[in-house]
Amino acid sequence: MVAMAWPTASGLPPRAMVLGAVGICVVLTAALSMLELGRGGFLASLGRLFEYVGNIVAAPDWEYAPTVAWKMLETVEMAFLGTALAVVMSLPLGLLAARNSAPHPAVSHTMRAIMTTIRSLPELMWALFFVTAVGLGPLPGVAAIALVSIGYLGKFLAEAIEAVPDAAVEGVVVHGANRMQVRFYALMPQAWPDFIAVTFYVFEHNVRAATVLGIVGAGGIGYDMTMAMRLFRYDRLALILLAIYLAVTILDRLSDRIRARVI
Amino acid sequence: MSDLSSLPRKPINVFPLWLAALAALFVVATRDLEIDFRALAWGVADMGEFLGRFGTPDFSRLGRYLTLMGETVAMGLWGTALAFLGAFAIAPFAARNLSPHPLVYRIARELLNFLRAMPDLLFAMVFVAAMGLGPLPGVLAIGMHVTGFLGKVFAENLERVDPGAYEAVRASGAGFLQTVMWAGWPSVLQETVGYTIFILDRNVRMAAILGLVGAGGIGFEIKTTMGLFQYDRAAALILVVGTTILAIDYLSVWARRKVR
Amino acid sequence: MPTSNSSTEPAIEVAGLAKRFANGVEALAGIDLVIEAGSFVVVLGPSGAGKSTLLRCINGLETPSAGRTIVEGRSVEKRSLRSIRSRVAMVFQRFNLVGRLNVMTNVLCGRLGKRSTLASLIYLMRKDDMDVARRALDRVGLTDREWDRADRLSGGQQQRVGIARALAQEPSIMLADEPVASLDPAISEEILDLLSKIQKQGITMVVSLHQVDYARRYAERIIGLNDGRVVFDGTPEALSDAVLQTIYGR
Repeated sequence: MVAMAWPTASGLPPRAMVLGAVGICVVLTAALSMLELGRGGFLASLGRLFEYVGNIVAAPDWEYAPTVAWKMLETVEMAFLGTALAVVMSLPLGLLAARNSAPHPAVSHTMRAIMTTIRSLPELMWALFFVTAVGLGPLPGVAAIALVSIGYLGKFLAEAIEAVPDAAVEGVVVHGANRMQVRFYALMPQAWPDFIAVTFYVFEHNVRAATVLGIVGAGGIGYDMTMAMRLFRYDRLALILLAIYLAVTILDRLSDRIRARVI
Repeated sequence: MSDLSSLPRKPINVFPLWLAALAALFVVATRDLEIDFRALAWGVADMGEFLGRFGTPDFSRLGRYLTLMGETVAMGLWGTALAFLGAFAIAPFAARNLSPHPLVYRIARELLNFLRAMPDLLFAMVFVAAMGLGPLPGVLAIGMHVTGFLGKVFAENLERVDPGAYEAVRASGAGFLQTVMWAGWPSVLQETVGYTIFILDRNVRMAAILGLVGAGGIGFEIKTTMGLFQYDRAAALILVVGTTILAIDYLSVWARRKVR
Repeated sequence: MPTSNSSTEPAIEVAGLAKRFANGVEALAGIDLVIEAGSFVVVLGPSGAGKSTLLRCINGLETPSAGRTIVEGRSVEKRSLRSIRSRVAMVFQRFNLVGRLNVMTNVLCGRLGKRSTLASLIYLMRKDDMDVARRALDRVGLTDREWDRADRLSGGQQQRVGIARALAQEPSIMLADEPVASLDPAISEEILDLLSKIQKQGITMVVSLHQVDYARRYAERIIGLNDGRVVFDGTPEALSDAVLQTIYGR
């Protein structure tokens, strides 16, 4: 047996690494005991999964394609509307939430708290909530997406505004700018480019979110997906999943290209 | 008198064009979806009433709720663990300056993109339909989607390592795996751990949501109670989820600060 | 100690070596060279002359567009890279250490070519490999810093770690690509003295430099490169001003 060792003074792995590894193993084992895993055991479950996926991949229903394409387009439109609304509304709200542009610290604190609360619930829950209020259809979906996006965009804009160096503000104040003018000529122009970049990321996220809102009736392709699964129409399910993958991938790439141009 | 015609032409301001295009898209989309935004205003009263039902949270079954929250956190942990292993394995192949062959690089990248594109909820729905209710489909759904995200981030970090370090190890005769382990991962250790801790936070949040489609954890309980119109119980559940996620938020920020 | 090959076989042979990069730059335009085992050869020339590219073709870090390289009788190609690299070690201008790892681990990188084991992937190395590494560190005079993080060392010390890493490979040929370009003059001389000492202990040394006075002081043979071609091949004594014009003139 050849003598081996680790390249440390003690010949053993570094203590931080060992402690970390042991700690992680302990936590994961504890977690495992909390997870009651499916009936029939882990391997049987995996087997069922492979069988299901096999069914999906087997024979897609290509005649369903136009319907799916249309539904996907509607889903993307939902994401777009939600994002656009959020952008428009988060501009004034972000200005209010930033400590250096809010009329009073109480205002900025309240706005930040509201945004954090909005963000903490997922779009799906908000969609459920809006469906109860305004009924089924794409409107509750758009509202849910817009609301959560305001939570993110508003927070981001506020942080970007707060990060504007004092020098930029002084330069404008020295020429006699009032508070509103400071906001428009010193704060917004600096915070703007980062805000635009984040808007693209938010849009990419919202497209994904929009695809699932349908399961609570808030519009989009999610509803068709639930139906296809309930009726065991694997051929349609295949097309739906494909459409979602294509739409998300194409939009991601497009979004990256446009963002690179605009920034 | 200066000749004004010799001044360079003022560049066209593109911004109003973009704005007009977006506004047009907005109108088109609204028409297409047949959305009437006024319905939101009318619905405010209904929303108020609906919210009111959550006003009196019922904590009588708190013990059970805490167990379910524990299950949810466990789902998040294991989903993260799986995603880390997947990303750790795939990322070196998806880093252009490490990958053994350009074709392998393309395939690894596309695989990661695919996993990232499909939302966890989608994976979860399919997995629940295939494997039945319970936390396992949720763990797998998170594991798969987040492998895509982490894998891409890890690969980009590996690509940013000083190429000289890779060259030197290769010039000593080391193979692909040795170069990855000796020059790759050590150079990006900090970012790797940081992102993993960050994503753990997000994954616990996700685990709660996945329960809504039956993939185990406290989300499923929320769905059932709401389905049975037991809003006071649902309110209690939502509070438990919210508080736990806040706590994990703070823990994650603390942990990331310690790693630096 | 390095093993020496038979005294008649040259260490490195280069025939018709040419290299054109994807962006159209022609780094090497046909080089023919024979380098004897155990010699100290300096490749001299201005930046862009092709010195780096020549050295990197020898250990396979660059693939030539035409011509071939033969190291100790073996042709340098994809299949033979691993065995070539077990005989040829390289020292880099920017040291190319892994900053986060300690000095010993960096030097142990030199042993990776000989040990493609699963254990090496978790940094578990043989004790006799560590002894080789320690001896290499001793030869460069850095044994007291074995467990320090590499990025905490000064430039000169880092380069010595790089040299130790090369020595740990137990090579018969060492290539040094502008080893002192990032160092100040006093340290540069220490490094070049070290390389000279190593060569005298039996390793073929090929060093690329752009500093003429260093070339004159350390080389047994100088190869002048300009624009990818050999314009001079002789002893330092023969390096007249007229010759320098052909090397550095354009």
